[in-house]
Amino acid sequence: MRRPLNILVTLAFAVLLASAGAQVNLKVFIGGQQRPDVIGPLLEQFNAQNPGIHATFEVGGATSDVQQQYLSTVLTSKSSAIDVMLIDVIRPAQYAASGWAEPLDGYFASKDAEKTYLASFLSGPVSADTVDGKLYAIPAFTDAQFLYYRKDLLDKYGFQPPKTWEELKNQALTIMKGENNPNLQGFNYQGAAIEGTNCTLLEPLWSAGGNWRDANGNITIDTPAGKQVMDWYDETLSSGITIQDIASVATDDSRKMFQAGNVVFMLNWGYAWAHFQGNGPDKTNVKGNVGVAPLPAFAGHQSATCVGGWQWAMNPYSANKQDAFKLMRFLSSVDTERTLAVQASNIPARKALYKDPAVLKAAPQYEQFYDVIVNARPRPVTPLYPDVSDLIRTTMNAFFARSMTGAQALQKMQTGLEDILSQ
Amino acid sequence: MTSAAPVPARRPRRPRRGFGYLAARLGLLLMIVNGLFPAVWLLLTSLKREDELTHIPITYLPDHATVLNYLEVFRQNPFARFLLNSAVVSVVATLVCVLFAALAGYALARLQLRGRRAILTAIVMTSMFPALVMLVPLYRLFVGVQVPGLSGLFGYLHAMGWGFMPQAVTTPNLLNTYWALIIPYVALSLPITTLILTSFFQLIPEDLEAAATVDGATRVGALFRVVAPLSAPGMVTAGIIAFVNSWNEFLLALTFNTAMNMRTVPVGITLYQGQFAFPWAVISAAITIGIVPLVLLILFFQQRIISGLTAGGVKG
Amino acid sequence: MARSAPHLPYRRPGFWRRLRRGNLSDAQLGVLLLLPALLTLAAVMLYPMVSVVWQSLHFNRLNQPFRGTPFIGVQNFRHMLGGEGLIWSPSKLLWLRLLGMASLAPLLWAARRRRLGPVWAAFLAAAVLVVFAGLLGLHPAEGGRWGDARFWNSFSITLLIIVVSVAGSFLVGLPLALLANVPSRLRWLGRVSLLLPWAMPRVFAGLTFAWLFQGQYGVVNDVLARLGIHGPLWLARVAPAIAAVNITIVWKTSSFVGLILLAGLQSIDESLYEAAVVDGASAWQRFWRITLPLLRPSIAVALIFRTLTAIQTFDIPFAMTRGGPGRSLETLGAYIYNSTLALNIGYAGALSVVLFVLSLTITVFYLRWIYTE
Repeated sequence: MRRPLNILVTLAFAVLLASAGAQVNLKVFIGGQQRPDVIGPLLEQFNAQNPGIHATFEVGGATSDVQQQYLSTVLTSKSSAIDVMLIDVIRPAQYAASGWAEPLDGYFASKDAEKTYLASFLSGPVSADTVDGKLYAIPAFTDAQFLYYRKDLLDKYGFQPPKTWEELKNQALTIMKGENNPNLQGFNYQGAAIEGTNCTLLEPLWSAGGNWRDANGNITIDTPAGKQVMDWYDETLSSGITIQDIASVATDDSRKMFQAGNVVFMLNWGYAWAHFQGNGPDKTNVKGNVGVAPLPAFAGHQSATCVGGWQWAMNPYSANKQDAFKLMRFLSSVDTERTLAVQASNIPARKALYKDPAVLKAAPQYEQFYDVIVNARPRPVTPLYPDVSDLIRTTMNAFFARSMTGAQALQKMQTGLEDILSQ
Repeated sequence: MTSAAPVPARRPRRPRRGFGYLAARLGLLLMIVNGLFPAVWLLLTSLKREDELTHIPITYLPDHATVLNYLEVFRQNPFARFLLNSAVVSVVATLVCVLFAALAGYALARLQLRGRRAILTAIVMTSMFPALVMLVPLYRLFVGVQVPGLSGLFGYLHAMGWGFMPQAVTTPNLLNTYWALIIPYVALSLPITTLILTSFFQLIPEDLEAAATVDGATRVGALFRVVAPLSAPGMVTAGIIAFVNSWNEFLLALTFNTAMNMRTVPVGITLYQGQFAFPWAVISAAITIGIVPLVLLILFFQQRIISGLTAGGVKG
Repeated sequence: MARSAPHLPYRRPGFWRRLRRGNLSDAQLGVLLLLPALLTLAAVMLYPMVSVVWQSLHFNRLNQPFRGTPFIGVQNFRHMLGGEGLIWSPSKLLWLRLLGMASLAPLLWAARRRRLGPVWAAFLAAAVLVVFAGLLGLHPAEGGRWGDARFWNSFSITLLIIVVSVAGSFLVGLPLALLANVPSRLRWLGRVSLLLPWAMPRVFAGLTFAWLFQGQYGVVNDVLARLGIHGPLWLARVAPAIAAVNITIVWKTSSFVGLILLAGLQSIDESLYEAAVVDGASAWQRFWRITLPLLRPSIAVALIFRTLTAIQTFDIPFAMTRGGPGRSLETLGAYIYNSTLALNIGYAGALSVVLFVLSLTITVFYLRWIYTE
């Protein structure tokens, strides 16, 4: 009975002594797909610049949901094992509400300093990171859904990238008829019950001048704008420009189909570009023939797209918050974001980098991307987003699977969202 | 035990060359196809280049077979280390689990205990909650949670002036060690292995043990010398189930062992995914590498140990 | 007066001495043998299980901490199972409840009087439950609600999967086990192919089959096309998706059942068959009279765990369709997962408790069957 006690006491002493003059250890959590091979050297750089701080990283699962599950386990247990984490753009509101992200306003030198700092970032990510007027995360890199199109096919038929959805349908029909290729799809998007399917609803809805919720907080899905969206999707399926099993198509399925050369127009995220140009493990049949354009809109309205990307957030249970903030500033600095843009093909969240020669040399497509990204809007910024997302994506999926008509889907989303937000 | 005519060693379906024979052979063939086709599909996929996967019409055999994917598996991540971690954790968990289950199974099958069924139900009850909801409490347990009672006692004593007493007694932080996985895996596999072994021990006729005891063996001796060999199929099956369960377990491995050098195979396989991109070719290669040790091990145990033990078993 | 040795009463040797001599009473030996297993389970599982049950009695939404975590007793269950948000008329509801009780009553009576074997009773009870869940859960619009419509939906699809996949895995698993026991040079290959489906991680089996069932470049539709059949859009329509998921689950779990039944088959003494042959029994009679009864314990074990895993089904439907077209494949396990992801962990705990009660009921039933021998 005495021995274990002695050991415990000795250990306690050892720990105390050890921590007396030790350096600060910071742990950064990133997902498996966030290029640990690029982040690693960046952290080394930070360590070299800041003696006394030693930052390391931990690699989590590869998808947003798996990482979320892990982080929620760690944060619910109020663990201080992680200091800085890379979270999806849809998470800051939930994290803020659950007390899992530290509000960052107090860490800036002054309100003005904060404002100038944030002004150098794109507005889409920043508005996703700002909840109730407080900043909870700093953008690391961003993303958006683009309209990818086959430049060669459009040139062949003398088309310019479509500005309205109707134009897109007509162009697609003409090209499909002209090419006489039974495997060619006119218009491809995501209809599976994945997170990205929220954008499948929201983008046309925004481009019809609508929104999921108006300024007074009323849900506005079952509205003429919503009806326009559903009718449009019905048209894509009935006219044949979209394949019938669109309900099982996820993000990478779309990408693969386009890459095999079987799609004329596609809505997809920024990662696809690199694959199309051959910077991926797959062979590409469309290299050099891919164009990127802002999404079409309904006549008389503005184009809009969904913002994506990842943000740096701080663990409120961290033991070294000031140092963690220093690390976050480093990770979102111009140089670091430039490195991420050049080496990891991450679309920069900073406006200045779109004119940066090094970035444009490595990724000239970012110039085109800018026009799209500048109009990127966040998905619903609410702590109840998981419920909102779940409802919208499953309803859209049911609609694409033809278990529901457009009207039924609109009504279900309307009442469902009202229920959710009334809690 | 002699038999009049030369009867083949094992089965009721004697290989008479009649309809039954053909039906059995055909059935065997179908079964092999049924079990192997996804594995073969995975194998073929792992030998293809990624682009062939979305070729329409689909290609079955690879146009250009390549082992590049296998090299990629080891290049992108320390997969060999993942294999080692999985192996250590699974082997230890299996051995401990089968041992505990055998002891418990024997007790529940043979001994006259009150509330046998209740105990068995209680053991099986622990597998009735989905692992997901138990994740946070389990995480807390393995990060270090204060032991109730004991911790309170020590805290009180500490406050009372016994300064050398620790202020609290917490369970040790076992994250990123093998024990963080071995201990839960034993607990996760105990219900089914106990149930299997209980029912297999029940099958063994009581008189065999009685005979052994008469011959001078103790109760425990009888357990090891007579009962264990006869329950070999059950033991091996229980071991296989515990091993495969431990090898394929994902959730706890993801949450507890997060350091790259402590990851296990199922979690490691998901590391090859991109956020959207799912490189089937590389992942098929990784899955194939992950399954092969499993299959080899089990094949070995199924063939050698069962036939070895039951051939020499006591009969009549 | 002769002095004789003092009479000492016989004292039974102490516990430790008897342990060394291997001579303990049943109860003592039992405790000793059960201790490692029970201790491990208690140490690892007790706290989480109690924690989950405790959690289910509270309101706990992690993303709404300002609402606190008040103790709400059985409110979560009332919300789930009924009593709230009634839109159906109370009389209609009353009729349904009476009908349900009325149809279960004869079953219970028959089971008590042992007119009905436990298997039949379980089967019929399950059938009644399925019909009810169907009436309550799968009604078209969610305008009519009795409790949480999403819960009843997940309950009905889970029941469907349980019935189909448990029956299917046995129908396929038993022949597989018999075949794997046939003496043949390819028997090792047969045993490997028996094992492989189950050895593959569930998520990847799901993804592989999702790949195989793909509408565009999937193997299944390709094979069907070559046979001249126009295959359905497997994962993009409700009914084919349910079929595809069930096929995958049966494929995967029949090998688990086969494995356990194979072990059971290997324990059967051949001399019984030899004696039966001598007595002139046909192959079918041998199967029905010798094999099946002796397989009963293995069948019971396989049945229990097959059902327990079927109740918790989540990985395969989720990997294949992420909850299926709409929510048609959102099983109970998937609903718990989604609730946890939605940070509504009080409700997730309540759902787990319901899952637990369901599993416990079925297990108690099955265990009765094993121990009545």
